[in-house]
Amino acid sequence: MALFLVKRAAESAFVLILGSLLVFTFIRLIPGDPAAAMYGDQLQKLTEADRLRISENLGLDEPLPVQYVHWASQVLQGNWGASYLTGEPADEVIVRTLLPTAVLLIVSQVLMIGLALLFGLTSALRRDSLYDRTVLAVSVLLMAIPPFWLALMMMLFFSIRLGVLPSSGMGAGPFSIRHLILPALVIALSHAGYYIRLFRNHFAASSSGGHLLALRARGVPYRRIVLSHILPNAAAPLIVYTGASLAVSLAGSVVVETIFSWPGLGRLALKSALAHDYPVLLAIVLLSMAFVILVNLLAGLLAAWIDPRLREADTEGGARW
Amino acid sequence: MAILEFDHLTVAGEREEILSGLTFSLPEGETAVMIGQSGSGKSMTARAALGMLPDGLRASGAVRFRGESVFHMPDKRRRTYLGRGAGIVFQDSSGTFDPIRSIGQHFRELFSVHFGLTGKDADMRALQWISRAGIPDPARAAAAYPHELSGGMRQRIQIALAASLEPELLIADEPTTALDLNIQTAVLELLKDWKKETGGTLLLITHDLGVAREMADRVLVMDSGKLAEERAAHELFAAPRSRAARQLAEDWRTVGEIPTAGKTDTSLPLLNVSGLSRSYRTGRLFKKKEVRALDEASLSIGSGEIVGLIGESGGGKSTLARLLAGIEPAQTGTITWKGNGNWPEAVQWVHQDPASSFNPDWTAGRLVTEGLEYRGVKRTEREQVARSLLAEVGLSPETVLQYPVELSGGMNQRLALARALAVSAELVILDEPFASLDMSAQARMIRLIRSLRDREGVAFLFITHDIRTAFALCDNIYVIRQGRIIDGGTPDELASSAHPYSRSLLAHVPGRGDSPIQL
Repeated sequence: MALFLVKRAAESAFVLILGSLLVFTFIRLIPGDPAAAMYGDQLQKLTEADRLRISENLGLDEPLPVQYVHWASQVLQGNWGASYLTGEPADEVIVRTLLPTAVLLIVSQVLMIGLALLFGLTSALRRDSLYDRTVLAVSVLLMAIPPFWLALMMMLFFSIRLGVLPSSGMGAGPFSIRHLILPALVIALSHAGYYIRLFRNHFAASSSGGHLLALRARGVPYRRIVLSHILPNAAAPLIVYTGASLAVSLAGSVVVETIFSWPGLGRLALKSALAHDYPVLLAIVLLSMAFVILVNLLAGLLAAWIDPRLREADTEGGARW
Repeated sequence: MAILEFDHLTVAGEREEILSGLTFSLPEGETAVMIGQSGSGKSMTARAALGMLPDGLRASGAVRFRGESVFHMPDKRRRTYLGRGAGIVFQDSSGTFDPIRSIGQHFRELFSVHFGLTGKDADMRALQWISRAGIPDPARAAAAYPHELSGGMRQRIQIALAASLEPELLIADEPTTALDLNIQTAVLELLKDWKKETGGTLLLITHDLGVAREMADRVLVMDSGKLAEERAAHELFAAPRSRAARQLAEDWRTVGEIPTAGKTDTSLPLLNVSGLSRSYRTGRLFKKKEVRALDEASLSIGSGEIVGLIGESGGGKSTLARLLAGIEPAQTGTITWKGNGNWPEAVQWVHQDPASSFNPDWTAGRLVTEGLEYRGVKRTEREQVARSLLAEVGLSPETVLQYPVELSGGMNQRLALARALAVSAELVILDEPFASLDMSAQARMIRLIRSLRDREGVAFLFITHDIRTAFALCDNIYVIRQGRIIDGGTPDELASSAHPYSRSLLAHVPGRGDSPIQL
């Protein structure tokens, strides 16, 4: 197990370094100029010399590799640089957005997995029934609807037509349920279709195993077969997929947070990208990568804890007798 | 008083009847053996006895356990019947365990469901039953997961699981079919012990007449869903009456008899192997272990000779086959083909599970002549070759248009043979060709292999753990164990071999008597 962890940690570090390199390079390819973001309308008044000086101050005149090494060594010392927009340290800007995003992600994930579990399991147990087919059709519909359109439609219906839910912001804080409902629901629904189908197929596969017939033939009650054999058998792969789904939801939160003016990480990412706020954007991307890697690592460990066969896959063969 | 009673049970699918009017009863304390070819309805009988017919089948008639209809039990009563009334042991030992639960957990679950027994008491009882199944280290087995145990161990545990609920009736559906012969013996012994200790009733289902002979008080012969014959074992074995029973007896003789004629001239050496070794590295990053799969193996195969290679699983048989087929290089030793070093595509390999060696999207015709495709033979010509090859292995020429899934295990085995013949194989390596075939299909394959040898002069290397079929088929047999060839000779020589391992292999042939069945 220790070897497994060391291997995974080394892989993760490699992915982080490679990812930061790529992001560092590609961010510079976004057309535009950080100076424009910093000075806004005042930009016209600046001379070419002023602009060069700004670039120099920001260290943007040096060759890219030099800039990267400089930035990386700073980050390793815990200095993420200052936001070009506000001058605040980048990490402080980000930390403010973490709580709202965390609340939104957790609530939407719980909703989504709840839906996937409920409909996935019930339709797997009634395979090919009318119910199963209806669930399937609705899932496909959910998969086909683009999240931004769903967000707009829900806003139109609940906020404007019915006027029961607020259309933007997060009210007094991240725990205002009324403000949370719409964005969380949009993220959950826009991914639920895929996961309902995935869960359904895994449950279906794990409920047709020969050992279930054997359990039934030994007089084990059906309820118990579902709860302590079908569910746990399907759990290992599903936990792995759910780990991956967090990454997808995080990416999806950029759109949803922007539409609902949710002051989270996703909205901040878009804002800093548009403003060429390199330090903040780099910090967000790196942080998100680290988060996704960590979640997947945990999901992998949890799955291996459930399914003994996965423990051996990583150590080639293992003990047999 | 009958413990189990089938009363005109008919089970039908969409198109055909799987069981028709099945009527028999099992007296308490008897061992009844049900025999028949695959597809004769044996397993469906077992399912019917448990009241667990697959969905979508219609049933009429009745199955009664101590007078109570099995199909009409209320759910709660059925759950005690299943396990405590009738226990079952399935053929497939790996698919009948939950892969993510340890062996101990399997026992604990049953004890909690049926006896309300939990905690330490349940653990103790599980260990007792595991050790009664003859497993050396019960605590370790209880902590193990199903995939960590060998097939033989899993099968013994499966019997212990069923026996631990103390059923009055035990149904064993082909419990020994996929196992090595010496393990088969151990499993049959275990069933006999259960019988002796509990005085329970045993319904054993098998296609193997040897097993039937070894175990049965009474024999039920199934044929296409009907009961063809039902008689006391010694009567049936003395003089089988029904066509099905006679056919089974004849197939068993083909599989069990030592051929007297057909010895060909083996002066022409085809393949000579000397001092062949191969090791594999296994284990983790820091704990490498070298396993010597093949250790200085030497053997020779003459042209038109059928050579057997027998031994237990893991003895190095398949490694030797891979080296001979040129799939893997040897580390030391030489392989000489007709006197010189390189051996060509005239060596062909027929896989243990032929269906898995076929592209499922190809028709039989294309599969058989794939080798000719690479040689640039024209399509129309290939089709003709395919038809004649299929005829040669006893398949109808119309089979060219069928897909592997539409064919039975025996037919796929023939297809694989035809594929080897298509490229004019001079030596065909048969890797456990009979593992998935019932006794009648085995007998047909043995006749086919012999006739191919006689007609085409093809040599065969027959790899098997089943000493009985090796005796029936081979001119010469090598015994391999732990990578070494430890004994060898003609079947007659081997039968009187002094080597303890060969003797122990021979001792494990079930139902081995002087003359199996008089016809």
